[in-house]
Amino acid sequence: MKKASLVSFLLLTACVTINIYFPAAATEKVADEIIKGIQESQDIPPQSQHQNAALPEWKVSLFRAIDSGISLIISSAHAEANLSVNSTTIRKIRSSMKSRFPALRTYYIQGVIGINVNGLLSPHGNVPLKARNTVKKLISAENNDRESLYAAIANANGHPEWHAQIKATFSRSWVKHAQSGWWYQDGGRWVQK
Amino acid sequence: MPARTSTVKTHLFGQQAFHFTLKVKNQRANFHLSHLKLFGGTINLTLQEKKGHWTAKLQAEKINLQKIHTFLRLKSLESLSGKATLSAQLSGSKLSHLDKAILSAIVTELSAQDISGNLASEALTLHSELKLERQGKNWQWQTQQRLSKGAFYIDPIYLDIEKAQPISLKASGSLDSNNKAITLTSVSLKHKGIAHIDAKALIHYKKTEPILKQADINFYADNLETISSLYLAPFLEGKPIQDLSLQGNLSATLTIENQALHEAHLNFNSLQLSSKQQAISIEQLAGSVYWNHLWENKQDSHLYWQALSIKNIPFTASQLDFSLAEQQLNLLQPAKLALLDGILSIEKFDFNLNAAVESSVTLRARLDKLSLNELSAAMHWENPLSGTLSGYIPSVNYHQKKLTLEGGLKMQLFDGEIRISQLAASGLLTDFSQFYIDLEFENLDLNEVTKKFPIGRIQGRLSGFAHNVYLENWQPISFYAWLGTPDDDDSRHKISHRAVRNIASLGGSSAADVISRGVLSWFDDFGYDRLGIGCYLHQGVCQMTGAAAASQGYYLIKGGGIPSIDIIGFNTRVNWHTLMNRLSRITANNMVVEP
Repeated sequence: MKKASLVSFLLLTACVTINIYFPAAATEKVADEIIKGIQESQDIPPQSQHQNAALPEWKVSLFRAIDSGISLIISSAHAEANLSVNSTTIRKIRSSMKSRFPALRTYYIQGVIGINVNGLLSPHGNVPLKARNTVKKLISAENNDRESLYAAIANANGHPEWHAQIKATFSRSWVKHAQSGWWYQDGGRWVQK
Repeated sequence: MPARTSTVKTHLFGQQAFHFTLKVKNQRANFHLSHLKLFGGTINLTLQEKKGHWTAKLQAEKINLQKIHTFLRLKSLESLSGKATLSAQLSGSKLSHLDKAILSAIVTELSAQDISGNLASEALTLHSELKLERQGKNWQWQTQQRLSKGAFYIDPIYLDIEKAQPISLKASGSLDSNNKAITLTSVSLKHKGIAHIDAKALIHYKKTEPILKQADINFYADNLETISSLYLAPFLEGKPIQDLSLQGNLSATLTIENQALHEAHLNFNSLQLSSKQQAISIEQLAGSVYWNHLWENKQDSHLYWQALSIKNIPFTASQLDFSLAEQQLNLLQPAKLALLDGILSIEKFDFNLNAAVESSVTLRARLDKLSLNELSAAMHWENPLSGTLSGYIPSVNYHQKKLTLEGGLKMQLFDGEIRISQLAASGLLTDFSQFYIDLEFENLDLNEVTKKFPIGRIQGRLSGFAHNVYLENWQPISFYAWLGTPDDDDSRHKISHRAVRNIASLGGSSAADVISRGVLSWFDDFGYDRLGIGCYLHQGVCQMTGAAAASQGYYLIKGGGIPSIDIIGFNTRVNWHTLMNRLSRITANNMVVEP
């Protein structure tokens, strides 16, 4: 009886800690996809597609088996989470950013806006008076959307504390996807790509 | 004393050579200084004094404002340049008292920018004049300002004066230094050929921030097209109606008390209003709109239009009578609006814009026999529908920016009925609209349906539903739908060879080939017992069902009669976009889709 109690006690007190690390690689991939989607002319698909839907059953079964196998091998102690970007809020922000992009591109090309060190937009150089209101409002709306997007992605994945890391990842991706001639800040110094 | 030329060297102004004379005789003193070179210009000064009365005249020509900026190091200004010619005539009864002043300035090529970038100008030409006269303890003043060239930006407005005609301001008033009040007895601001404002006002400056205690403002817009592009568009930038344009003229009277609008009255005639982005236009809008900050002081308002179009749906000439006060709008009497060969009767409409809580809408409306054919034409549908749309909306609810319509609508078409309920929408004017709807299909004649949608001829009846339909930007995101042969259907069930091939190809299978090559290719029509297709759309994937369950799938068509045919779907999960692509290829090409 005493042995049984001891085992029960050990079982109850044995705690498995699962640390979900920030999915850096997945975030980078998501950032690339989202920015590409915004800066390309195609429409954003309403939501991510289940690619396996059109696969033959045997392939689906095979992939599922492989997936289960991988899950067994990966130690739960250092699992890296996937990143979901499928929520109404995220789709809404992406749609808003996508429709704003053609107007932004004009000013990227003119060099009157640039990507600052935080991955947000800033006015660059002397913005012509005629364009000042438009540029100001575009920058404000875009920066609001970018911040909201990072928060929405963090929230959609149940980790609001990832906001800063998501922002930093996106910040690099915005520069990566900047087109030739656009301005960005590198260590606080404006550089033309 | 004869005129002398002196040279002075100071730390601030460097070496200066100038002429001056000083005469003191018979209790009169005259001092004259000329050719003083300062800030890139020339300064002349004359001072006269006789028995305590004095006058001073200052003339400064071609002063370089950039040099003044460098000298003064004004922190609020990022840059300042231009040329100024200034003159001042001052006089007083005692040496320490100023009684009268006439100041004038002509500034050319004025380019300036404040630190925030919210105020800036480019090559402005400004004529400015100010007259001040002491009357007892008060000061009477008059001023005239005129901008005739260049451009300026006052966030968010940008004006190019050369293109947009000069702007002038004339104002007069008094300054009561005892009561710390400025009375504007007359203000006239004119933007030539575009608009002008006449106003009277009282301003208190007892505290640090001046307070607009009272103002009566009359606004006349002669050219609303230019006004909307110059003055309205900057405020609408980035908003859903940023391309709103107006034409016509308008007059308005505003009353302000304690810095808050108390009353407003707008009159307009022959107003044109349009927004291509939102597909909204109004022609020949006339009206008188009155607003008061207190509901008990409300007065009737009226709007009348010759033609109105919302999302390409045309409304014929109509009138709306309403009250507008505080944050509320109430329709005074039911309105009947003619559209699409039918009538929209608005029996009740109240709107309360309460920012503190949430805006509320009360609407009771009836739709009576709107033509679906007219609707199809307005919406540019490829396959125009025939039939009518009627319905009763007992109320609407607006909560968390989502508009929900109670009640339902009925469409009489295809010899059957489609009932619409649970209608809701949000963000309809934005670039991310959300739309919710429930549909019930009852006893539609498939022969009529397949005449409109070229999937191939089918005879029989069709009933079903689409529940919890949710669309984003008019693209389906989720729903649960089923359409098929009604249980009690005793109509003739025939399906054409082409329809069979098309339905089979929807599944992406090779069934279409089988039908084409085999014995079945000898027949034009097949009999069927039941047909049906269902989809539960979630996460971009359709979970498919059919008319009945089959051993490893579902019957899309369950055969019956001679010759009969069964079509069984085996793919229970189909990508929605794939399915839509197949369907659109069938209806667009009016031909069989190859698997």
